[in-house]
Amino acid sequence: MPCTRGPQQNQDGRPLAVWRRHKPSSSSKRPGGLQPAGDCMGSTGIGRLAVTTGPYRFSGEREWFWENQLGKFRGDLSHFREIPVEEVDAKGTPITYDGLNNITILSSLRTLDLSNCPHVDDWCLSRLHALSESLEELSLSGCKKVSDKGLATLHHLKKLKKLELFDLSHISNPGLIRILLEEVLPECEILGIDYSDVLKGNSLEEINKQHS
Amino acid sequence: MAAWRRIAFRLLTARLFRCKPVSLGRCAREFTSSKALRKGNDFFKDLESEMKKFHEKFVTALPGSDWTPIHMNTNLPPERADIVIVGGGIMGWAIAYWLKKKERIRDGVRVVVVERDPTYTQASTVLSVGGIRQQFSMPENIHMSLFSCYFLRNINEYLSVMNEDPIDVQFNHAGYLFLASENGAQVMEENYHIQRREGANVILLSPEQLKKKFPWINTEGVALASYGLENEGWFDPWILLNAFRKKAISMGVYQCFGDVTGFKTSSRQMVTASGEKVDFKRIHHVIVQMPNSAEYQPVECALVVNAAGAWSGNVAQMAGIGEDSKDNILSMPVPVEPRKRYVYVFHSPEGPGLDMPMLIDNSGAYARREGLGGNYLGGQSPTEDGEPEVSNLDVNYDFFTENVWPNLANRIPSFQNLKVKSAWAGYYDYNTFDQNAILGIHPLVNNLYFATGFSGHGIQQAPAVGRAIAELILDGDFQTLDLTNLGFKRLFIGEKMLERNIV
Repeated sequence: MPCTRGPQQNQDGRPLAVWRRHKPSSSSKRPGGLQPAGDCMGSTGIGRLAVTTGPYRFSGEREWFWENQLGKFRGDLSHFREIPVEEVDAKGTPITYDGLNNITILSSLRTLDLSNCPHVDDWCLSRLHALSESLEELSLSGCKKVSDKGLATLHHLKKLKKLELFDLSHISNPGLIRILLEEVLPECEILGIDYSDVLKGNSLEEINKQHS
Repeated sequence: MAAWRRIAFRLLTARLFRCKPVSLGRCAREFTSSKALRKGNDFFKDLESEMKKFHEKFVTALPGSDWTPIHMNTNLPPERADIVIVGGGIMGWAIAYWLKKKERIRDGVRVVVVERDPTYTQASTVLSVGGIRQQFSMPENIHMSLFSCYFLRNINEYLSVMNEDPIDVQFNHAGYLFLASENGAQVMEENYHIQRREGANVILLSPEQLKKKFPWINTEGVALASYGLENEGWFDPWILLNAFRKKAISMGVYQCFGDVTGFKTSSRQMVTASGEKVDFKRIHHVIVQMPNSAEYQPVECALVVNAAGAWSGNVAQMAGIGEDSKDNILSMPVPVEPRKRYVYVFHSPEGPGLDMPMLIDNSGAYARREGLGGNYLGGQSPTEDGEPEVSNLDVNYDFFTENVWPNLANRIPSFQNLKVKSAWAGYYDYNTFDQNAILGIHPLVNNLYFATGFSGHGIQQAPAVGRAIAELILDGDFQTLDLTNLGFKRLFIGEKMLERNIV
């Protein structure tokens, strides 16, 4: 089955009239912006469905499902009750530790995008071991609360092929973290950190200039 | 006539004008060259500074300033308090925090924490390796650890102080990995079922699975392994201690640096149903002596909490527990004594990487990663007859070379090449009876509570224990976690609550 990601990260491509990323009412009722699984979908089958405020795509399908302005999904969503969820895009959502309850049960999840989520921290990353059998792509770019200790917990994800770590300037020794992660995850491609990111973003040339 | 007067007037004014700049200068020089007048100038200058000094002294003596002719030592504890907590380690401050959190009105209880050593040189809290695990065999221990993990995850909701930085306890989520030989595999499997039932996220691994997951382990002699996936790891106990302390002080707990040298008690003799005479004691004053001084303050109090760690036995003796020669409950001492444990820091260039958990070998040796630079912490609990003497905290490096290193190198072959960087020693508040905590009120000293005897797993139970003791004191009974099994009763009836998984 083709594993296209659907529309890429360009926000301009998304018709804003159809997709509401932050719904204040749902965020206040249920922290994390997620409703519990089985709320409006059947929870039987290989993969249970979790209703999120972000878009998601089913395996084998090319279309992405979005909320409309009223927060409802298209009616024919219920046809996909039995199909496992493959990709979740929670980019920028206020998802929290408890909200990850809905993600860790997705046993066939292959792609998870948690970039720019302000509440994702090391504790949240320690829960991702539940996806160790299936997760192949993970993005944690711009998550300000993630530190090197959280990244160390990613050693569980043996099937991981792509790890995006852009904009993590608050981590000390990002280059060293990249080397150590590549040691424990040999098949994973780590993007966003340069080997020469020795001290919080200073490049190797700058450091040589300082000392010469 | 008028003309003369005019000329005379003009001459006069001219003279004055001419005189003014020149003659005054000359006059001044003439004046200052005179000795008497020089003294006079100093007198005026001195007078000014003297007036200033007098003014300053006067202002400080006025009411509203700190000065008092009576010398007062502000380091003394208050003369009266509701609850005195003996010991300012993690247990003492956790209990103080929870007492203040649970009091329903502001300043409902006056709490004083008495700590002997402000530099914490011998306190078990700060010398601890800081591990937290749920792999115990007693459900009480598992639940206490689970709550402590929840507390650490939400630490800023509990312990954040306004205008201070958010608290980061540097939690590493690496998990604990226990290895068992053939002999221990049965016990490990039983423990696993208990742990899963109580909600701990633990898995069992066979030797093949173990080798696949951690290729750097030598699985020879390992029959079963138990690995914690979540809520297990290690953190910085000093940060947690300071967070509790800052928050408790901001809520109104008094901190006192002094040594508890005695209690003033009174006793009342009562007769049991079977006709035995029993002495009920009650503590009225805690005598706190100031450091490096003979000055002391008796603090009148309602309740006393013994959170003195390795020295809890001594504190209990001050209340008369264990001193009675008669054969009754009061003559039984509190079985907590200090036991010295070593922790070694070593560097191994080819050691395991980010995936290394806190590994505990079936021989008892343990090791964990420290930081990202190839450094590790390791140690081993000595056997009963090999216990080091506890009068000081000197480190015995031979113990590492003879006992710890062979076991570690056998289990992790890359540790054959290592170099010890440094080491330290700390005390366990070791419960010689059954190596588990003693929590609760003493049956015969009616207002003495105990929170001691943790035998090496105190730091990971501290938030839960603080809450439990606060519930005992303020609510009368345990509310959230029922820890009656860890009370004094088991000591008297001789029923050991053994924890089978001690590191």
